[in-house]
Amino acid sequence: MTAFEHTLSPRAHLWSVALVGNPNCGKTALFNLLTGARQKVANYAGVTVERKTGLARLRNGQMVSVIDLPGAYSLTPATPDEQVTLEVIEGRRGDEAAPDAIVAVVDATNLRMNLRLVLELKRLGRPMLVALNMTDMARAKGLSIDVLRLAQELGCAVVETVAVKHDGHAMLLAQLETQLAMASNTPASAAHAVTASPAELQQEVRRILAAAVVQPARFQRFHHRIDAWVMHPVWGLVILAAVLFLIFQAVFSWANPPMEAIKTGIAVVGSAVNAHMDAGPLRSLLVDGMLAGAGGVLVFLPQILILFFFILVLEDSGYLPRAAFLLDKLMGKVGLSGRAFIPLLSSFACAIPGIMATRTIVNWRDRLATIMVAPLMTCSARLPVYALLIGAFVPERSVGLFNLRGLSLFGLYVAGVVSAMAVAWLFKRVWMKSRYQPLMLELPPYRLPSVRNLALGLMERARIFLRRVGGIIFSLMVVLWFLSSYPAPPADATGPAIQYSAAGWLGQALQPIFAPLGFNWQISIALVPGLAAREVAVGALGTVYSLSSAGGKDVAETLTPMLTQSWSLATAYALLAWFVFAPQCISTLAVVRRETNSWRYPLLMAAYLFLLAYVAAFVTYRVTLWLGG
Amino acid sequence: MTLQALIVIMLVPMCSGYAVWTLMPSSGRRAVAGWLLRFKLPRRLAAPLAKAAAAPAASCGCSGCDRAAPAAPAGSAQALRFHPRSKP
Amino acid sequence: MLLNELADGAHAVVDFLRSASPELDESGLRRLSELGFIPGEPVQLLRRGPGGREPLAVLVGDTMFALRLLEAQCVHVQQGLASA
Repeated sequence: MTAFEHTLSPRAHLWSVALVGNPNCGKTALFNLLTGARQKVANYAGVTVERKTGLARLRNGQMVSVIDLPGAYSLTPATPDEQVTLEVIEGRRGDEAAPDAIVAVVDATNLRMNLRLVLELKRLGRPMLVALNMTDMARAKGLSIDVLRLAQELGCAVVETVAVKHDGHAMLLAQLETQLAMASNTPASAAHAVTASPAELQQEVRRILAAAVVQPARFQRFHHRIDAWVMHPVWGLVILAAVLFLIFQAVFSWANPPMEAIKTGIAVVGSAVNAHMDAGPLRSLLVDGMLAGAGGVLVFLPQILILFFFILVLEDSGYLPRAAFLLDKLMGKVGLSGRAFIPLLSSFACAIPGIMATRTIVNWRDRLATIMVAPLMTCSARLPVYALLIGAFVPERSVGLFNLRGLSLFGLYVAGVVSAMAVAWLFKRVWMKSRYQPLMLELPPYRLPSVRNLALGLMERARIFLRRVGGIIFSLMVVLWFLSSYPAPPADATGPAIQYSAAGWLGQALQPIFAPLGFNWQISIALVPGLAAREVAVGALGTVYSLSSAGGKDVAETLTPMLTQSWSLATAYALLAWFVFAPQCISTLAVVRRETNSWRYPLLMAAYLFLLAYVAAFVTYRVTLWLGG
Repeated sequence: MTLQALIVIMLVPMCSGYAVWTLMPSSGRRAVAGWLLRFKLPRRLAAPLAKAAAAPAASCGCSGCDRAAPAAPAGSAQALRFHPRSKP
Repeated sequence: MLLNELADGAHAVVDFLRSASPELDESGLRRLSELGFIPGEPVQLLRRGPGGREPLAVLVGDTMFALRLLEAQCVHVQQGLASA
């Protein structure tokens, strides 16, 4: 039962409808249309690996539960996510009853393939209707589909939908209303998929197509001319590099105005608090804990949104599988399956959906290898750390066409990818033998990203970030503030008060461990709450340094100049190297535990990552010092 | 004691509790929620606790995407662990 | 002939599927046919990945896939036939 269902009367039976279809048929866009904001969004890289639920409102006011299932090529599952789809349809999932009706979503421009699954679904004998999606594109390409005839041949209702138009689901809603009004109240009995050979199904499909569809001779589903460039062995890679480059430049340059605005806002609030509140614990909590801490993380919202904007555009446009095509050989050299590309790319946003997206990889060992290296892909939580340190230690300068800071960020991301590949290669040598890794990756036609989906995705991402800042980051900063302010220093104390507090004591105790890396005790203490999530380290540094600044509080003093003054370049670089590897994210370890069903792998992962982090930071520190940093 | 000190004394334990709750492994959360439910609590507290006793919240951004496995009873848990050796 | 033996851009028709190696078993063949490699379907080898060997970008029916060399070697095709 979702949270939404708690608001309905427990007696009313909430009809549930499952969206089923091949991958890339626009199911998720349709789901977004039907449920709008009334859904739980979870995936970043165009691959639905978990069923998503939401509520749709029919025109008569009735609410219907909609389930978006992972795409499946047939009802014979080949991957774990297809298994999920089959089980939900058959009602074999313990926590969920079988859906009352199935909406088979098909891409109108690819009936030749999509109808096979529809025929398989028909054989289940469950209430069903077909949503003919992307009919606008079909018409534009000259395809003419006799919807009535198609419905006749298939033996169920067929409605046209255009998932990218704001009312493109109108006919679907109407049809659902009629269908549900006629349906009985008894829950559906569990049905079982009857296997049929693809060849038999295709014969039937050909017959239906001959009867109901007229395809012009010039019908082109794909933009082959674009693919000639994008998938070219040389130009394709150049384009890929250029795209990645653009993203990093944008993250640094476009984000500046909004970031300045946020910083100014925080400074204004801080001054107001200092002016209007007497000195006391609460004022310190607000200024040093909340504003310096959580506020220090909030500042990075624009950069994260810009990063996600590009990730979402790349996903929606259909470009990602082309990148996988280009990089497959390289990935194969380090023992990663080409199908690992999308989960790994997802990990640039957050390793958690990336790790879950490995459910599309069949072989257990390939899947495990991908899971183990996913955290090395530079996730968006590292961005505040990188941005802070680059902003403090890399000058604002141009190198030819490129901005030095953008270049540095790009370099860090490359370091993440290279280290992931190196670790994967090592795993392959030591543990997993070289073998055939299935690819069979579909390359969908190019699509203009839908503004609606982009907006929804970005809003959701902003919401998640703000919730995190306002929730766990804020709480940890309050706790850290407390531990850094008490016990209060004795009357004859010299030096900043924080050194006498519990946190200061702990930091000094940890210092010997981190001293070889050039980390001072402030960094040591910041890494502890930073275990919860990477951005927390940024907030923690903000709080710790805010409390460390002796004498009069000037709220305009932000973290960045303080770091530039008190840290050596070598320390800053060593900390960057630490963050490339260190598993400062409990949630990731928790998900690995769940996906691998054992404690062994997350512990192994944490151990190897911390070891790598330590060695990398050590080497970086020493080398930078030796080079005169 | 000043008003400021009073507010801080309330705020710090609340935040500590929230932090511990969020960062706790799901098994710990279930245990604590189960224990808390033994007391008579108002409905507004009991409902989310009951949910936590069954399925964990996530501290990362994934609202619901990591919901699946724990909620499924032991019998069907096999389904998601898709290892070649369990494939027929 | 085998799918991977086609020249870049060549059209053909799927004839039958047969495993080219013990690593790709019955379930792998079934998956290939579920993806659309069914006798009678038109197929076109579009291009190959950097390096010129694999992966192969293949258009089968109206769907485009990236295939491994091993996967393409399981698909036997015939040129010069009319598709179903």
